[in-house]
Amino acid sequence: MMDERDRDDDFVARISGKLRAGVRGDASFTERVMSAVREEATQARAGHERLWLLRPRSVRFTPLGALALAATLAVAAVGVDRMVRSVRPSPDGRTAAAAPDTVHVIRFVLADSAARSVMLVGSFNGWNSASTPMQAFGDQGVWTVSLALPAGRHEYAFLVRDARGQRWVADPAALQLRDEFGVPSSIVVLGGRT
Amino acid sequence: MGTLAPPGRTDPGIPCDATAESGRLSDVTERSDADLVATVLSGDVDAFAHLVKRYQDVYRRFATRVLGSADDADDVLQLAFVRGFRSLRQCQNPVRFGGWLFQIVINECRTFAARRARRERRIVRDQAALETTAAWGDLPGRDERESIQLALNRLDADQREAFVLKHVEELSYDEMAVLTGAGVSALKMRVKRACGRLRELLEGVPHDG
Repeated sequence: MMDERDRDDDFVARISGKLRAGVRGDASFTERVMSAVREEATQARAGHERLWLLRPRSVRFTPLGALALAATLAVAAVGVDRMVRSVRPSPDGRTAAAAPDTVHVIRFVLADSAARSVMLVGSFNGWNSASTPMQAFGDQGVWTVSLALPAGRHEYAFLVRDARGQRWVADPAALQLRDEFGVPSSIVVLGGRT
Repeated sequence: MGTLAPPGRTDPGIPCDATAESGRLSDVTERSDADLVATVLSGDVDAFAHLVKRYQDVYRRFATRVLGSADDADDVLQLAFVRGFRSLRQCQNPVRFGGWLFQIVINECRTFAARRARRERRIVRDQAALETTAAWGDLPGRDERESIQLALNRLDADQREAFVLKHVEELSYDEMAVLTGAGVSALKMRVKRACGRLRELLEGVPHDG
């Protein structure tokens, strides 16, 4: 006589068997992916070439040249100090204007005392739910993470996991927009670009 | 990723080119994952196409079952492959490329599902009405697999993911724990609850054949 466990096993085997059937994609899938991959590679190469200009190199100076370089670097250091600043998204989503290549160190903050973990997702990390965890600051449910982002417009949201599961949360302290389905995200505009 | 084998490759000793899916070879190249990863990283971007062909069918099944839509799965899978390419230098053990990529697929599915759930809650506010809708599994013309997928769609996301990993992709609980970041006991509970809920939802649905 079949007991309950056997019936459970039979049930699971039956539905799993149905679900294990393969799901075929269309023939163009690989080419679509590769088209996006090649685009990605082209952009990465362009970025790499820009970085090449900043790569450290060994150079030799005459004493006079060294003095001139020291003066130039002193001026540059002041400029960098002005460009790299710690900012928070403001309610209108904007930060002060800056040079186009400025890197902004921006701190994202969410207060949620029920959260067990919080992930930052956004256009800057491909909306990946695993790449940017936020850290609990103190024991009051304040979660933060700081990122260096280029100038421009960035959309983001928080994925909050608590006892009830996972929730999508827009930043209550920043400008919000809704996509065509009404899903809210937040916006930060760095360096005055739109 | 440790020694995790991707779904469809439960034996870590199986050569990458010998993976069969639905009775056919998913990729005929002789080259190993590690070799292909090294080739891509050396600048031959087109070698990535072999990895796409090799893994797309396996991960499409997972994404389709978890998301309940082949179209959504296709979009998510494309994002996952591009993200995998972008992050390829972070794949610390290219021999286990498939398992590493699977983690990306799972994360992309979670992100997509969270966004979709958010917008669906806005469209259908009366969840109670949905719960009490009768006979959804008995509509004429619907085959058993469709009914099972619809029942799967109604599970909590965590339970659905755990059920698919365990009973469709046939991973061990240890493998699931590595992939999902959840503990083994929590995963067992999710699978148990998923089975119970599926049994409730599919009660009375006629079997095919």
